[in-house]
Amino acid sequence: MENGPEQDRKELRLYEAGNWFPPLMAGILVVTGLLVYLNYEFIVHHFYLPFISTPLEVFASTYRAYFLLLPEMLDLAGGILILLMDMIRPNKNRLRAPLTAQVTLILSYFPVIFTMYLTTRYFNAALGQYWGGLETIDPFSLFLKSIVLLTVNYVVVIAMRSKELPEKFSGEFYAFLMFAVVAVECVVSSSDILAIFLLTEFVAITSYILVGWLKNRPTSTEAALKYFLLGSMSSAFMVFGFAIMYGLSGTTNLYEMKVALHEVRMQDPSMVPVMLLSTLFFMVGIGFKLAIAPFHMYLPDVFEGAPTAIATFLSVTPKLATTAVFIRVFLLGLSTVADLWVPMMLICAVLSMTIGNLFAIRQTNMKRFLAFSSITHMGYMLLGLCAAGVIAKTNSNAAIQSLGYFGMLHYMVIYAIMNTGIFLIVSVVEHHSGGSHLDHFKGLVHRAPPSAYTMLVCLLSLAGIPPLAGFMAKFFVMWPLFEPNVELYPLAIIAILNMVVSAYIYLRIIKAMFLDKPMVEERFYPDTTYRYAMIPPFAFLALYLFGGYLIRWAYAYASSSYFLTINIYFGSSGPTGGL
Amino acid sequence: MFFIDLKYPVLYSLLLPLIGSIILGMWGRRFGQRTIASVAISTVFGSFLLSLYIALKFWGTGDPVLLSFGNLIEVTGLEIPLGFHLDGLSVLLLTVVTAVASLILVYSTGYMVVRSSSSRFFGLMTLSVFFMLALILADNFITLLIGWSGIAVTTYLLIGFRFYNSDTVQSAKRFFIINAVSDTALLVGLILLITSPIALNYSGTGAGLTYRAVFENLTTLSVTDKPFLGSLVPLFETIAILIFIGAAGKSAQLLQHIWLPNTSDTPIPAIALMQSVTTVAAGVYLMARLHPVLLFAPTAMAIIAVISALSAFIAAGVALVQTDMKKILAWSTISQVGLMFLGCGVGAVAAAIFHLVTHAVVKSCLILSVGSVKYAMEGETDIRRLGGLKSLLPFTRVAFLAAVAALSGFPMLAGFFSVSEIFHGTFTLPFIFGWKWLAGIVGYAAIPVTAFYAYRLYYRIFEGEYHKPPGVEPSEPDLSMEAPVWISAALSVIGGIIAFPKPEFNVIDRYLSPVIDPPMISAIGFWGRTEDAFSSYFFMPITVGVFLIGYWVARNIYLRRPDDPREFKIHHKDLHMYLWDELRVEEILDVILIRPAKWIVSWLWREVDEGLIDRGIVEGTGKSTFILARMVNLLRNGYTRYYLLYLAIFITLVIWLASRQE
Repeated sequence: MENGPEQDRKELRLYEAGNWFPPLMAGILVVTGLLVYLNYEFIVHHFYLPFISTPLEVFASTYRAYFLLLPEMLDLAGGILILLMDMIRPNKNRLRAPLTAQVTLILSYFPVIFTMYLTTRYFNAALGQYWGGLETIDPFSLFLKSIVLLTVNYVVVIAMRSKELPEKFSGEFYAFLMFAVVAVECVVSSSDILAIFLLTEFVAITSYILVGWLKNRPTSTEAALKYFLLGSMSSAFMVFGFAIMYGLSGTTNLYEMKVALHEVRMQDPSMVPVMLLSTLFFMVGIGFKLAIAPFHMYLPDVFEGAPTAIATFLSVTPKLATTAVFIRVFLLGLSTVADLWVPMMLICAVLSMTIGNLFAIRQTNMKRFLAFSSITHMGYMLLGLCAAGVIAKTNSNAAIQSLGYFGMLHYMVIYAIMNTGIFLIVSVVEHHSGGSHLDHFKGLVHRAPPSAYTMLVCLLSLAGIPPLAGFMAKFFVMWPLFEPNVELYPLAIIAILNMVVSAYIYLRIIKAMFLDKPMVEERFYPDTTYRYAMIPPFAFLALYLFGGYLIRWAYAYASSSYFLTINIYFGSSGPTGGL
Repeated sequence: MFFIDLKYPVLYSLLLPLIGSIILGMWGRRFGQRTIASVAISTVFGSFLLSLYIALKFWGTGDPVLLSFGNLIEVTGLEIPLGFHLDGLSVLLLTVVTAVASLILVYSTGYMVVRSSSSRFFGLMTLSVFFMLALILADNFITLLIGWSGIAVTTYLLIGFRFYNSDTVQSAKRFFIINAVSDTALLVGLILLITSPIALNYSGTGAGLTYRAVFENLTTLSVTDKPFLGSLVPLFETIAILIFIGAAGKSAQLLQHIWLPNTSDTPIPAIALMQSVTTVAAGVYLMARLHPVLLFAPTAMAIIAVISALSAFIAAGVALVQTDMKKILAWSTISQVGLMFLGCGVGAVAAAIFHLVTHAVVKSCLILSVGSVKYAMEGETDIRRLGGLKSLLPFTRVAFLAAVAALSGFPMLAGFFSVSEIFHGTFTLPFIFGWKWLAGIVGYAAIPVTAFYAYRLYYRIFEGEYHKPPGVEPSEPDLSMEAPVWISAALSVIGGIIAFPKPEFNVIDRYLSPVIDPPMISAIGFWGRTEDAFSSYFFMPITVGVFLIGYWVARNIYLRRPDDPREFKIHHKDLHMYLWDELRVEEILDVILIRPAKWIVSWLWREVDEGLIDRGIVEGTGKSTFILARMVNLLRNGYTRYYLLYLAIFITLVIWLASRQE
């Protein structure tokens, strides 16, 4: 890079810009904190609804089924639009395609948040099962959708500035991304094993393509091939499991399956081994998608080979979808046979936590490290599922209202935000230092302080250091293990021991960033986009201190008993609206 | 209606010093000297004005006012209330503490003007006042402990103010260690009290944590269920002794006193503050506050009274032979606080608090004028090298003489009244049987000694020949240092007026009787004893007599026969050396406690900590985790077929396990 006066001036400008970054961040923290304090509903009512409510309300009341699918439709339209743009002017879409994607994603927020608002206000307005029970729109799915959209925003930000992605036909990349998002959004509201299988496959196949996007990089291709081979294998297992489930219960709808499996078991106990087999096969398939041990082996290779943006995407978005599937299938469809899957889940949780940590101890490549870290975190997340499963053994309806269910969901949300924050900084460092080895992070605090501090907060949060959000996540996923009717103390002890190990592995990165000497002394200044993008994770993780607002709201909303009431009020058939 | 008026004045009188110290702590470095001082003085003086308002509002009402601010901590089964217990005792001390602290802060502006880090100094002084007020206003045992520990911390920081000096650090550390020990005793005592049947008797969570709950229970029980309360007396004895140990640690009573005389490098205003109104007064306040419990522990009361009287006498004896002005005053404080503890020990709590008030004024005047002398003589504190300052520091001399007279019991001055009150209580109250004679006579013996060392101090500084040190031009200090000394001197002269003979104007009586008398009456009823009918005036001539002895001896020796002390030193060498070495408590403690403790601790450190824990458990865990990680990493080799193999192994394993279960 030549050092002309032009360059100097630019650096000076950026340096000055860097000076106002911390005050700006502090200001945003304060303003956001005040808004949260002042009352969320007040803000929605006075600043959001006047602009949006009338047209949306008319649309919502006239075409209810279409309205509820509006976010998906918008994203689909965005993807198609990007493809069209790519057809018309293939080389001019380096920035237009991501911007289109971003705009579409932001647009699709509005119906999601509006529906969330309606459902908090007028309890069960516009919710229910649609398309013959394939999709269930409930608070749970809306909540996850909003998080999914947020994370994909970050993926687009990372991809937009990435040097890895080829200039030509860059629209295709974002189009595939948008299609994957559509699928993910549909998965989180699927309540039918058919839909679940098709849509998870949809996500998976798009992911294979996106992982192998860098045709010039051999690791990328290798990763895609590995991912594809293992993924198709696991899909085979999953569909096999589903087939057996269907054969046993005679239905594909999870709400009906719950009752049917219970009846089958009561009538014919000899069917239990078959049930176990179906559960096991389903678990293998879906565990692969979530990358829990022992189905995790592909993940580090894939993260290392894939473009950073796609690694971010894979580490968060499909995992949110898969968590939804876990909850729907295990805590709804299979909740009456919980005694069969809880032991397996326990084994998987313990293996994931331990193996992920043990692998991560010696990693020096940040992406591989993050892959193992995400394996560990999925293990923690499963603690909640285990606790809920133990409750489901005695009362299958209570599982969905249990603390374990809430802890799991809560964990996923915080994990998603922490992980996107870390990947953001990883991509910043990769962009400026040319790699994501641990050496590139050495002395980051001297080179790019805001990035280093954002990373610090995210890493400490991942490690579960008390005032930060990650601690609350771990707390709420651990708490149900101590509930009087759960009492999984050994599991809690293993989890806590693993937290000690993970503290070491995260502190290792922090030590490199803050105590080691940098390889290159030169400071760098992330782009404005990056700088702005760093604020929300930082703000969120720190804001979480403000009275646990999110805890209260998420608990009240996502685990509102509506998830259950569909089952109770509409029976096994469920209402079929719209189409 | 009444307490709504007081809620916010009380809150602000508490919070103002805190606000001041926060301002000074956070931004003090940017301020100039003047701003720093004005922040400190205005906050503490504002607090004083508010407390005057509160005191005037409180005039004529007997009942305590409880101001509640909700709960400090609220968990299932435990609620720690946050509120103020406002009665005569707390109102009186609130006023006195803020008043004397304001004087001392004004003095500090002149005294500390050339010193660096004055924002830290003023911030700490203000914070110390805040914690004292928090202690005074606390309405339950937990918030009381907060104020108590806060005083310990601020005193530690003030003693160690010049932390770059290793002696200073040593004395700060000494204070902290002694306090840690005595606070442990106090904590155990308070826990015993909180968990005792009288506190738990109350239904409802945590109600027993407030003083009011405990004391009302106690008073009620003394009438309704005498056998039950009688069975609790051994418990109260234990509690009283533990509380006494705790209070004696803060108040520097004998054997726990070693931190007080060794504060040689502490700024004089800080010494004045902690010897008059904060640290040392805190212990007396605690004894006064908890006196309803003490009244049901007669043996403990006797022990406290006798030990305190001995402490007063012996400490006064040590002050006889010391030559450092600060040290003499420190030993004098130990002695005077011994008298206050004697008052608490015999049940004469109002007299003890009265003496606390007068002593606060007198001692602040003495220490501040000693500070003026030191300031004028450029750091000289040894009375052997001082003398004849009468004509050079005339105003300081008059103030000092007034304070000396008031301290030693000169008729109609402040100390005279309060000391007489204490002995009136000692000889008339019925709680400790015949021990009162021992305690009273030993205590009275301290008065002539006090008079002797006080006048000795005065004569050695101001009378006699003037030795001019080279390069020193002693002169009266600024008005900012002179005015507080004068005000406190004036107060020491007229301070006795607060115990005015007419009951309508007797401040002590108005404020303290409603607090002290009801538990006392119930205790007298419980024990079935009667008060002797000595008049208060009976003891005043005795006080005058014993004072005159000490005064006369000192006057004769130091004005007429200055060689006598030297002869005393030669003829009673052992006694002199023993007193000169300040009773050799530190040496004794070193042999019986410190050396064995050091030996045990170093063994624990070498063998257990380094050998077993560090090398064995900590490093062993780390190493084994690393070895495990290396082993696990062998599994991951990048081949897809192996990955599928692991999958197959897992499935087979699960199926096998499941089939075994069937």
